[in-house]
Amino acid sequence: MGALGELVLIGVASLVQQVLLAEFLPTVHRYVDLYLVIVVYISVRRSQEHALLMGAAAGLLQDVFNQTLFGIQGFSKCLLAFVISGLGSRFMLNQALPKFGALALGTLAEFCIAWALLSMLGQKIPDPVILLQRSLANGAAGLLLFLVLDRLDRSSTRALSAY
Amino acid sequence: MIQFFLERRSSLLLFTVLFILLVLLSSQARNEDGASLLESVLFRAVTPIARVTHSIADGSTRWIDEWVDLKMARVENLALAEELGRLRFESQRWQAERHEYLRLLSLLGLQERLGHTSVPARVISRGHGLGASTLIIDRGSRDGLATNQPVIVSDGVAGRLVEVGPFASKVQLALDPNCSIAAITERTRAQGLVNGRGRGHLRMEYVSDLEDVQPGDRIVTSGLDRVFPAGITVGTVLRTDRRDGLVQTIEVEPSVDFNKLEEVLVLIDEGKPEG
Repeated sequence: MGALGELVLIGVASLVQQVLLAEFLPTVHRYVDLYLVIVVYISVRRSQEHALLMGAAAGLLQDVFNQTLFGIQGFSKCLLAFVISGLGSRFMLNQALPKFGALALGTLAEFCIAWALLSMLGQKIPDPVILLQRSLANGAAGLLLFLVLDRLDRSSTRALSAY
Repeated sequence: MIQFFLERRSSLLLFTVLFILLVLLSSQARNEDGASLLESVLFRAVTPIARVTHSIADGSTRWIDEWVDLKMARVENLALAEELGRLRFESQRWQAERHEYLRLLSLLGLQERLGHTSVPARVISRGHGLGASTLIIDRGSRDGLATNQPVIVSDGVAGRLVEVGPFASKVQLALDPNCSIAAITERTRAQGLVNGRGRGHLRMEYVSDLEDVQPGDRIVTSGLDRVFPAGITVGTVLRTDRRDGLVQTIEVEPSVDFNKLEEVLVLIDEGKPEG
């Protein structure tokens, strides 16, 4: 999957998150952060530069739909993508458990980054009540989504090589 | 350099993107005063640096100013000390000139008062050898001076000329044991002869024991010696001694301070030249 494909993926994830889940599965929408799942998915596969740019793009798109300061998710996801990409080059994050761990910890880390940033900017801090549930939900959603995306990626690669 | 940036490309990119996002965030966020947080954060970050810079600059400027002031003060101090020394010297000179002026003024007054032809002279030397008390003055025969002419000052009799050169003359002071002046007491007109004793007081002799002479009486020249004109002060009676029975000896406090003579008057139409 190229950079354009990843941007399309982020766009689709955004639409699913903001339109479909918000409309039809509000509970899932509340707990699952598809943007984060996609960012982690890209980060474990790509270079740090690529990951941070995609992270920033996904975060900014998420900010467009949220009521927070524009750029807060962009900032946190950019930093998170950079770190995960760095870790991905050193550790094996291809297995299910490390992926789950990366997503869960990524959710916590993103919250911490946003919390620190909002505190620094003197803004209201988000409620951490459902943070743990979100971490677990993101981890689970990530595992599922990664499987689908890996399948899609493999089949598209195969199709391209046959062509 | 390029290698350095290439090696840290990802970190630099991260910082760049994060910085842009932070600026973006800060530009939206406002504090309770309504100011932009970016502005506020930058203000808070910059003001301590500005304060420190200002303090350093201010301190440096003050230090330099003080140093320059100190240098200037030192130079000024030296100049003032020099000026003070010069003024002190000037003041002393003026003081001396003032005293001289006053002395000359009183001498002039005396000259006019006496009505005698006189020549002012300046003391150029003193001699106290072998009990003699003499002065050397800067006038001589070329100025009309001759031996035996009386020498006076505003306070009274100083002495008489005993040696006259063309440009200078020697004065025998009234203190000299060889100097005798015909004198009378001003109050009772008792006559006598005032002799010098080398130093200190004068002695008036050959005054009749019958004469009434009291301490404090003024002694003036009588004019009988044909050297000193009558009426010039010689001194004041200190005490009288009547032990002899016929005459009394009177101790006289001279009216002139012989140690402080600087200018004198020589009465050139008085005194009978010797020989």
